Amino acid sequence: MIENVPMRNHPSVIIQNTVTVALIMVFLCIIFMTIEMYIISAAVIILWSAVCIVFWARQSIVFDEKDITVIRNAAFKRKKVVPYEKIATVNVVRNIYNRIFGTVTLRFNINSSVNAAVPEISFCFKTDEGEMIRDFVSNRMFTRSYRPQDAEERDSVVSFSPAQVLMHGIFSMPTLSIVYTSILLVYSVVSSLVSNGSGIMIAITLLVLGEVIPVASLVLKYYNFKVYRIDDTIYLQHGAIQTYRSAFNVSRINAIRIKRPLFARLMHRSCLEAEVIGINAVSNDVRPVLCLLIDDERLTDVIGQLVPELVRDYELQKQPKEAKTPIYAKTAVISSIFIAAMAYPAYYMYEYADSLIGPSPLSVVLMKAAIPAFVSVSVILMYYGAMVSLRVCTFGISGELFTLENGVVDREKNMIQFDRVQISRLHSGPVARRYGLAKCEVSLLSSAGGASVRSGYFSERELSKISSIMLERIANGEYDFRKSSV
Amino acid sequence: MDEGYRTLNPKSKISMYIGYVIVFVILSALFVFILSYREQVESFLFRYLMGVYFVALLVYLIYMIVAPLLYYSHFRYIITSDRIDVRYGVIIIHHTVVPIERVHQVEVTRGPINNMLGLANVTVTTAGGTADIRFLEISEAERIAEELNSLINKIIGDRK
Repeated sequence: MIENVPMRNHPSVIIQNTVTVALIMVFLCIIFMTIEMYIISAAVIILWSAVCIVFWARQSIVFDEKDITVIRNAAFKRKKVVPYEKIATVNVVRNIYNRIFGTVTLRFNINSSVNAAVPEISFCFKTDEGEMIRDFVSNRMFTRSYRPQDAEERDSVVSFSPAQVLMHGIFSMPTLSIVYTSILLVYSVVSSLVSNGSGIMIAITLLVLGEVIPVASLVLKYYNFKVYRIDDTIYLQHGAIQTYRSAFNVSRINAIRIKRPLFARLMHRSCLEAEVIGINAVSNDVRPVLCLLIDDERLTDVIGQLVPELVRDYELQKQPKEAKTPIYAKTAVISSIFIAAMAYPAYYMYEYADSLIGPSPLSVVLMKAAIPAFVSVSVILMYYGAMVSLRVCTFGISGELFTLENGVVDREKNMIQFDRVQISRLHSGPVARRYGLAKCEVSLLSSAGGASVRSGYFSERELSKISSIMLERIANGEYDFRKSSV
Repeated sequence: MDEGYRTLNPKSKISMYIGYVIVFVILSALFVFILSYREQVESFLFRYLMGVYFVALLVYLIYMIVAPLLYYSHFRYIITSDRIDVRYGVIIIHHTVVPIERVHQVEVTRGPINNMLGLANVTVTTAGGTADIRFLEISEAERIAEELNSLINKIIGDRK
C-alpha cells in the first residue's frame, strides 16, 4: 500500500506555506496603507500560492524496500535518495496547521552534522497515513516496528508532574542566566517600591524576555514528557501545543551528558541529554533531553533502563596534584590582567569621590571602596573556582567509552563513544608541559552540528589513549562504520 | 618522538610575518584615527579604552615578532595510512589527531600572501569539525590532498 507508490504532501501544506507570506503582506499593508501596497500584496499572495501549488503538484516521495526517494520536478529539479540504514531519526510533528487539518509532518534525519538542524526529508500526511509510513520506515530502520498505540500502552520510564516540568524549566537553565534574571527581578521590585520611573518597565521587559518566555516555552515543550525503550529503540514524546515524537536506535547515540546546573545540584537533581543527530530538527534543542531534572539516584536508575550500554561501573580519576600549578598559574595571569585593567578606574573613582561636594562621608567611602571591593571579590572567586575545578574535573576510560567531567558552577558529565569521536586535540601550555600535563578536546558528531567536549588537566600520556584507542578500534575492526555512517 | 614528522618550509615565517604586519598596520592606523578625535570625545572612558588599546597593540607587537619563530619551531605533521597528526602552536602547543576514516573532504586553499610565496593550506573536514595543515609548499599540499583522497577512496572501496 505504501511501498513504491509515489505520494504527495497533504494539500494543506499549500495553505500553510501561503499563510506565512500572506501574514507578512498583511503586516506591510497595515504599515503602508496605500492602494499600491494592497495591489502588490494581493499579487504576491496569488503568485506565491501558484508557486506553492506547482511545487506541491510536482514533488513526490516514494518509499521502496531500501531507500526513500524525493523527486521534485519543478523549476528547481531535485532527486534525493536516502537509504533507510542512514536514517538516524524519524520524528512526528503536530503543529497548529497539522491539528487543524488532521495531519502529521514526518521528518527524517540522517546521522550527519552537515545540516544537522534541518531534516533531510520533511513531508506532511493524513494522520493515519503518516503513522502507517512511520511504521513502515521504522520496520526498516529498527529491529521492530513502531505502532502508534505503543505510545498509549507503554509506561514512560519516568514521569513528571507539571510542577516538576516547571522546575526543569527554571533550574535547568545556566546559573548565569538565573542570577542575571534574579538581579532584574530584585531591581524591578525595588524600583516599583521606591520610584515610578521608566527603569522598572525596562527591567520587567528584560525579565520577561530573559526568563519568563524561555521558561514558559520549556514548560510547554516538555509538558507530558514521556520516554521509553522497546528493544533497541528509544521513543521520546512531549509537548503541550506542538506535540513532538521521536524514535531513534540506541546505536545512533554518540554521547550522553548528565547536566547539573548549580541550583539543581543544590537540590540534588540532574537531567540527562543525548547527542543524537537529527533529533533536534523538530524541537530546536541544541542537545535533546532524555530525562528532565530529577533526583540524582532516580536518574541513575533511568539511565540504567534507557541506555545501559552507555553506563560503566568504573572509577574516574581526578586531576593529578601537579595540575594545581598550571591551574593556579593561569588564574594568577588572568587575575593580574584583571587587577591591572581595573587599577585606573579605581584610581579615577577615588579622585572623583574626593572631588564631589555634598555627599555624606559614608557615600564617599563607599564610592572609593566599590571597585577595589569588586576586584577583591572577583579575584577570590577566580581562585575559588580554580580550587573547585581541581576536584571536579575527572576522566576515565572503560571499553568503548570514555568519560569527561567538567564545569565549576554548572557541571557536566559526558559519556562518549570512542567510535563517534571525529577529531582529538591535546592542548598544553608552558607550565603544563613542565609536568607532562595537557587538556583534551574531542570533536563529536552533535545534534547541533559539530560540538566539542573539553577535559581538565591530566597526564598527556593518559589523554593520548583517547586517540590511540580510537585508531586501534578502526584498525582492528571493532569500529562499525554502519552504526555511525554519515 | 618526532620520528617521521615533517616540518614547515622556512618561507612560512615570511608568510606569517607579512600577515601579522598587515594586521598591525591596520590596527595602528585605526588607533591613530580614533585618537585624532580625542578632543571631541575627551572623557575618562575614552582615555581608559585608548590606554587598553595601546597596551594591546604593544602586546601584539611583541607577539608578532616571536610568534612566527615559535610556530615554525613547534610545527610538526605526519600523515600515515590511518591518521593525520599535527602539532602546532605558539605558547600553547596543540596536538591534533584525525583518523583518516573520519575525513569527508580535503581542501587546498591559497590566500594572496601564500600564493605569492608558493604556499598553501590543507583543510580536512570531518563530520565534527575541521583541521588544518598550514603553510605547506603548493606541491606538498597537492600531494597530501591527493594522498588523502586516495586513502579515503580506498576506505570507501573496502566498505563496499
